Amino acid sequence: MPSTFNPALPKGGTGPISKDTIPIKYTTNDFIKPKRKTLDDMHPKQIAYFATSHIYYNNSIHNHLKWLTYTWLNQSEDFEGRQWVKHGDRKPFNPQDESYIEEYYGRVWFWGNSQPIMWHGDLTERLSGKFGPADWPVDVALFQCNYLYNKRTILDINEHKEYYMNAFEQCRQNNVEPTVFMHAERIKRKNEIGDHEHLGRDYTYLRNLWTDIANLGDALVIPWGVCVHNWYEKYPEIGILNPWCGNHPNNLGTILMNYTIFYTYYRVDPRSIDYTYIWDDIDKDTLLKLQTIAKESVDEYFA
Amino acid sequence: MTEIQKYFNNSFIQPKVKQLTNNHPKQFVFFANSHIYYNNSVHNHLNFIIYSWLGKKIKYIKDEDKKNLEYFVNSAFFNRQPITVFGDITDRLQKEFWNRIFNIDVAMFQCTYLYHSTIRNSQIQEHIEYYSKAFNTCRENNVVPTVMMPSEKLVDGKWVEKDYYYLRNLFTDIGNKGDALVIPVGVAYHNFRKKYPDTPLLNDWDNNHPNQLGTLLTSYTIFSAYYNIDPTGIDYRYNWDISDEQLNAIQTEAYNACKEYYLDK
Repeated sequence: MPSTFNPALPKGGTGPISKDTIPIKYTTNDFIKPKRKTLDDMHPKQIAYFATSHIYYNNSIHNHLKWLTYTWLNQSEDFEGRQWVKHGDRKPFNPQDESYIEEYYGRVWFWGNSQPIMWHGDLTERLSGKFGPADWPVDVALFQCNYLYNKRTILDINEHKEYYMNAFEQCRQNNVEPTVFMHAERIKRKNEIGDHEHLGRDYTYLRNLWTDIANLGDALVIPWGVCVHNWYEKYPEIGILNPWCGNHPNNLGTILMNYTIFYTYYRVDPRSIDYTYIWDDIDKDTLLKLQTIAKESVDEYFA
Repeated sequence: MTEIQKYFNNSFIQPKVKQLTNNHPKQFVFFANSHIYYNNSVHNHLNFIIYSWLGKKIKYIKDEDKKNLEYFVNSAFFNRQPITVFGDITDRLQKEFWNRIFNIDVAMFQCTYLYHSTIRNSQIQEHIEYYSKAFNTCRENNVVPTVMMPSEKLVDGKWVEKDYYYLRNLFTDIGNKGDALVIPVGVAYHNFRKKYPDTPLLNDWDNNHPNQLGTLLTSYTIFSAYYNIDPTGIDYRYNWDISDEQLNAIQTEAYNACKEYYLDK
């Protein structure tokens, strides 16, 4: 007997969007241009994530980015880092072996239930303190928060800009480069009825909003929203977001997000990297589609 | 006998606290790690189980109605860090969560730091102090503290049987010293794998984090420990392909683990 419970409710839905007028500068299709286009250090090793379920769903982006990085490095002949052999096969990553974490490491601070960024409070200790066995300082911080997806009034936006500026400033005081995650438009949920005209306008709002926030604080944007938009333009039949919430990434979406962050940070063409985690149902053709959209979308955004 | 050795004794320490003082909590916060957030997070599943149990016909939740949602679980996560990384949790226990107007009733602490083969007695004592401090901070904020007992590990295809005794006694001791309720997830896993040795509860690629069945077993054990309710019959299995038989087995072992652990509750 199948479950009668609908996992989309009450969690997972984004709720109704505030009806107040979106600031006009965020409604333009002549998109605001990002000021910062790369990291200063384009080979970061230690990354702190201040994020929500969009990142930790599907076993967490901080794990995937770490394993993707090792897969990429293992493909290079001159890589002298750790390699693994299991049953005679050389493996690109080994989730059981945590001894490499002093090199590449994702430190995560998640909040469940989509709390706004202000909930993280003072970040100093988390940016500067020793974190478990990882001795290296944090290179990059990633801030991901979807609070402004629903809350679109000028008051909400301005209040949150202050929180972001404060967080970015704390990063710089601790020699950490701040980056901010551009939220994506959601898709129509399975069996959802009602008016969805706003969904087409979300992309413009979200792209301009997060570019503006980053520009104000001289932070780098991870253009996830551009990737999702371009993916559904090109492959509307292949879902990358969970159909029951239209919002969180499914496995394919998590892989796309992973390659998007990787390419934004490292600027290494991901199209030859063979990382799909343990999800063997992602074939090579689909992987190439994901890598290509990630690269082209990031290139488009920073062009 | 050193402090560590006493935990390996198969004569179990008995829990002092056997139920919540508030036997119908509505607002929770979890301080936890990847063992909880893997598979789309236990805090979500506990929410869903509660609403399924109550038979709520939840339609689309309007923003203005969220403030009236009675049952709500929030989480703060980190990776592989000891409980100390959370620092002062006062702010997180007191503040109004997004759209929430109710106070937090219960906090749950889950941490795997003390489960290492190299753990030393001094580290155990240090962490007991951290836990006790966190529990006291909870009480100062009228929040009931609870702590999750982890399960033993699977190493080279074999369960580390002696770790079951270590973890059960260690976390019972931590709970007793801080007057906190222990959630016997470790007991549920131990009993389940004894009864169903061919049904894995952990991811096969790390033999460490829960698979989907394991996540449900954790969720139902927390539910049973908090509400003292037999969950069998609650039709919640998320959107996973889990049979009625498997669901019933999970719910039964979750409830039985609580009955066994709390004994004469």
